[in-house]
Amino acid sequence: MKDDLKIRLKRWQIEEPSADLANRIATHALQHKQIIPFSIRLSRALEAALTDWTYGLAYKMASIALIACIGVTIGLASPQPESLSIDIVPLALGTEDVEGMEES
Amino acid sequence: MADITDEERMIAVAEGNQAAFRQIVAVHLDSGHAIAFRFLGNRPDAEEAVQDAFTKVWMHAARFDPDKARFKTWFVRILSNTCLDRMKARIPPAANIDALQEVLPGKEKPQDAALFQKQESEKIKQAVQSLPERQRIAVMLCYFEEMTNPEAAAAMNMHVKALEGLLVRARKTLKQILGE
Repeated sequence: MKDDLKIRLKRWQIEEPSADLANRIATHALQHKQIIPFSIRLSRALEAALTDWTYGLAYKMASIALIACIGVTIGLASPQPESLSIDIVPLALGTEDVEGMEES
Repeated sequence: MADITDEERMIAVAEGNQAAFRQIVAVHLDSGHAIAFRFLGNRPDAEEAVQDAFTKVWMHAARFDPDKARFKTWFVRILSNTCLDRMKARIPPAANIDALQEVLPGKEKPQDAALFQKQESEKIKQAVQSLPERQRIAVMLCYFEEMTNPEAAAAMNMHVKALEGLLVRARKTLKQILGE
């Protein structure tokens, strides 16, 4: 559909940009550091950590050492299990009654 | 270069690829400059606005989500916000009586086609710049940049129906001013 207003508006002449504008813009912009949101940095780090075993190796080793320390500490701090009395072994094995009957 | 879409280039830009960024600048510079020029009315301001907008594109490339919007839509939103910020920051220029005299139709007919074209261009510029902010953006995107209504609505972060309302009001005002 012909739109006369739109055609008329197109008569608005504008100046061309400077010849070196593209280069100037790129040079100016590239002097700035890219800002990466925390969520994206985190997901990238996780992805790298899961796909490349050497990525963050120091952190991985430290994490394993920490987990080992926590495990040992909990193990030492928890109460020792009471040692089983030898008397209850036949009971557990279900042989006590049989032996008692034989004796009687 | 032609086979790669803007969205694919932006993925590379987000990973710090400077060559991809230069391609993005080369592809969108002319249309970006045209939008900024129509907003701000002069070349130095337009060039600075486009530079600021592209700098934001580089710095925040990681935020671009190709699943949510096309690159052009995202870029136009950044650029129009940059232009609006610059317009709000600057002091409005005093009306130039001589310039107005040149634009207003006089008794004498324009001496040649070039002068007529210049007057016509200035008249359209003033008519568009007299529109309220959002109507002006709607006109720029839909009539000058040939964006579809849904694309322009996405760039302006509004519903298509609301954009159509803006266009209707803008057309009415423009027709009154331009004497259509």
